[in-house]
Amino acid sequence: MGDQCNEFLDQLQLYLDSECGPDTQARIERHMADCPPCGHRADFDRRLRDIVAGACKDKAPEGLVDSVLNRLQLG
Amino acid sequence: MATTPASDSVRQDGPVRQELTDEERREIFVRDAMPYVDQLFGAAMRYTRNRADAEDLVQEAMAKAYSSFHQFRPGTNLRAWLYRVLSTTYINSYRKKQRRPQEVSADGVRDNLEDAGDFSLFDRLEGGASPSAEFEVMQQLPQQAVKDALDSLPEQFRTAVYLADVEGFSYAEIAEIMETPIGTVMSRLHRGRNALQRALYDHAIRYGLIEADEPALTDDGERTS
Repeated sequence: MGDQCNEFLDQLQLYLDSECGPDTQARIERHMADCPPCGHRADFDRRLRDIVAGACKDKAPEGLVDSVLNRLQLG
Repeated sequence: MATTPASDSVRQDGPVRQELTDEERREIFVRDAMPYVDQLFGAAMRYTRNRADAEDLVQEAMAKAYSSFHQFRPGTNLRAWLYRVLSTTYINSYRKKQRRPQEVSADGVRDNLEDAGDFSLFDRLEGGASPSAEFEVMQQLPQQAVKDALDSLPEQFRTAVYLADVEGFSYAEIAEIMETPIGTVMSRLHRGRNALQRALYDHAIRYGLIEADEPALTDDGERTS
């Protein structure tokens, strides 16, 4: 694993969170294209987030909005 | 130079909203804030981890939001403001009831996860039977197992990961919601995701999706769960 891979690992969370600047973003994307293992890792982390996001949504009970409106006497 | 009660109340309300009538405030709240109620329920579930308490928490938070709606500055981020009200309502009214050992205080969290170290699910699963084995393992995990893994994290990590990965809030928004510096948000996210991946790995073993032949419990130091 080269220096570039280490730098990539340091920045990966920021990149996946869309919190890095355009220069860093471009550098990370270039590295992912040049280095398949790092690209694969980023892909895995991204899909893992999607899996978590998909699994951890809870549907609100029917009528919750109405209960709130009633409680606040806004209905 | 006597101050009249009227001027006192104007000053307390700040420069933003005092010109609104109750009727206008009501209309704006119903129009702008009420659409977030169902989303807030999802966050309330991550705090309380049961539906009845989550429903109560949303109702109480919306009551607080309505009564302090004059403090909200129009044009700023209403969604993040409502999540912050939910968070403070939870901390002030519910957390004491639900307190579990080693889970709530920042010190407790630190003690609990200090030894956990970095954990990469990708590193654990990579090099399996097929090139995409690691994806397949994750996709086979039942949704309830993923939810349980997130719910097993200490509250501050669970909340940070939920707000980022499920709700898509930015670091700055999470900092506002959790009333903590951005650096703390980043650290909670980093450590929370590590802990989540470790929990997912444990679940994958439990469901028989991978074999527990790796020294998962010892190579990063002792597990505390």
